[in-house]
Amino acid sequence: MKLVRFKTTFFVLAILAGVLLLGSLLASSLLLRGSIYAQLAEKLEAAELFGDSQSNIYIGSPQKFLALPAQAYMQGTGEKGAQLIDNTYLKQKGIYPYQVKTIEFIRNVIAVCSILGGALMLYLWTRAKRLSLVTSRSA
Amino acid sequence: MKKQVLLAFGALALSTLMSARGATEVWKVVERDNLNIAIAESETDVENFTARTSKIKGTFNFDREAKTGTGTITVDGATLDTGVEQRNKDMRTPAWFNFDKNPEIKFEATRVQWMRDNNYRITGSLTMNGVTKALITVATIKVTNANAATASARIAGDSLAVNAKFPVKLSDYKVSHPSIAAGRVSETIVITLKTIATNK
Repeated sequence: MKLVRFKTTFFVLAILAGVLLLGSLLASSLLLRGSIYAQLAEKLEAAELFGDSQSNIYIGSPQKFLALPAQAYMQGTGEKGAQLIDNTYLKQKGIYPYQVKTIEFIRNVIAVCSILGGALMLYLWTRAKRLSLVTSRSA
Repeated sequence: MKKQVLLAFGALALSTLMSARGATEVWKVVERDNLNIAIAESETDVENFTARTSKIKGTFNFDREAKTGTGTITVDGATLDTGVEQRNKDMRTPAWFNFDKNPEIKFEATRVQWMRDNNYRITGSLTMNGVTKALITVATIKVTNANAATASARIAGDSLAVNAKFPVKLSDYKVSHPSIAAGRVSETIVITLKTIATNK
């Protein structure tokens, strides 16, 4: 009988879960627009002395990053054809290069939680609704 | 006559020994930020992150003719920068690498064997977080006689450029943290080391 009291709450929470799901999908698609396969790099003095063909040193593996200011991109390509990003510029400007997989992970966690939470709220709402119908008939 | 032959042999042996000893040079790491870099990379499904520093010291005893030698490189772990100040602080705590107490990441090469071109097999040890473990890796070592390139890099003598990349399992160095089990930091990090030493 207690469920009946929360019927409206369950419904509102189910709607909110749906809004959260749609919001996370929309926000991630906006954030991921213009993402780029790239690799952080820094100019290293005397690269020739290492026998390197180019003067950059890669800072980590290539991966997908969210779009960065145009000034952050360097000429040339890194490993696996990745666009080079100037790590020194990012540090100077205090820009943290967010990764696509981090955004996707957060989006997926929100999506799973909102789907499970929304489904639970819908289930409780339908039960509360049925109970309230039974209660009103018996009354 | 017999005495003269013996003396000649003795002199020859001594000169051979001296030339062999003389071929090993002492190379000191040029402590300038733009010449040296150490990078550690953690790669997980959630996020990759790199920690980098240029604070590297060291000395090599390297014979460029025999292509053998030994050496020690020390990286200042307390200066590793991940781009996130809180993460830098965390790395220095006992929960992670304890760089506040043991800031040195020390590579000791006890044996350097030439493989081909500029590639060498390095046998030695790595000390981190107060733990020393054996390490075998492949590195490139390139010696450049003083020329325009060394001059433009403001290196006084010849240069010895060392470039190594190897994986390090954190649990081997008593680094364990719930973030590793949770998959936010990889159990094995890859360390890249580039450093330039000079013989003057």
